[in-house]
Amino acid sequence: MSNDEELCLNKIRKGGIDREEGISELFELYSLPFKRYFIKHRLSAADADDLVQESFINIVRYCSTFRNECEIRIWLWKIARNCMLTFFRKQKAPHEEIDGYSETIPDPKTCVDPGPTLEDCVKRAFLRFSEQDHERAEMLTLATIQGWTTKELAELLGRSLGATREYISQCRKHFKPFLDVCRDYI
Amino acid sequence: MYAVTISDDEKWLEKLSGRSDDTAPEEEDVQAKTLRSVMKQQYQSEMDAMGKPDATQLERLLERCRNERLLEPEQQTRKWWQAYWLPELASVAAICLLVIVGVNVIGEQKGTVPNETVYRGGSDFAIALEKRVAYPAKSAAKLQSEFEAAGASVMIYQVDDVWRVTIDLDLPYSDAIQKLLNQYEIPAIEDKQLRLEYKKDVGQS
Repeated sequence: MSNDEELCLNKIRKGGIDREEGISELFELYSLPFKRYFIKHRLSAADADDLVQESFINIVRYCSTFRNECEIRIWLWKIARNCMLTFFRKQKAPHEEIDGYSETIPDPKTCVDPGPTLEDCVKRAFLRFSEQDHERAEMLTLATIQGWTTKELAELLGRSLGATREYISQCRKHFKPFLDVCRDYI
Repeated sequence: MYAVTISDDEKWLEKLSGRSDDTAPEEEDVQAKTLRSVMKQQYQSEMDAMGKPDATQLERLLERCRNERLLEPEQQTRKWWQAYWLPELASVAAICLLVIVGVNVIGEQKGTVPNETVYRGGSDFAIALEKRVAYPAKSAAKLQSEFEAAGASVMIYQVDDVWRVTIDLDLPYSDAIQKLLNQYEIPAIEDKQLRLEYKKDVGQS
């Protein structure tokens, strides 16, 4: 996938008709994942569309300054995430712990219905976790889907490696109470 | 030198992202693998529910790029064949126009001088000698009779306001022909066919 992104970015850098082609191809690859990411952060579909557009504008605007300091896909996601954080700041909406993390461990009482199988149990546990802590749940999902390393996650979150390890530890710690109920299936 | 150790939490993340085959306590391993599978299924079903990228949104994005001068407007609406073919066509058209204008200008300079009473024109076969006179038909007829009297074959035909005279001559020119050529101040072209045009001279009418 990284090759596709590199090809798109090269076309965008070239300008002219190549740029339009590069933008269109990158839009094909990233518009829906970005939109889903924004909606997962409880934004409306209209706001999500606006943020997708904003993200792409920034990608086009700044692609010439990208010097492969990190993986292209990380750079793209970083732009999308920064657009969202800027939006939240402008809206002054309570976006919870999007740029930090809560020390409050979720109440395991919420995990009362484990479901018939281990997979059902884990699914329900993760959904409940997402409801309570959508930012961490989403970050875990993206790390899983995109196959991100700790270093790449650090790049995306704009944190040091140490801080990112702590972030991962907190994600796990916060998710654990939801998952405990599934131990009976193993 | 310190060995870089990976914490349990990082190993857990590696397991979720499918990059680790390390043996782990069975319970954690099963949970992590199940969680990975659940997240992938959940993600895929959400993406499927979103459908395909919105073409309207893409158009909106491209339009904004044009407005913000991130895209060049001229190149946006062109298809590939327009992008490569039209500039070529424009170049060819421009060259053709230059050639046509050039030929007309040169032709006009060589062939026509208003109010001139002498024969003008090129020395080759393609360009006729031209003369502006008050009565083109009368002048052509007089030329015809005199050259025919000198032994030449003459043909006249009219196109619009122009009387074209074609005189077939034998080389070398006879004295009588040479005398007529001198009389009419027709430049010697040393050719078997002499082509002349009589046009109406508005200044002499």
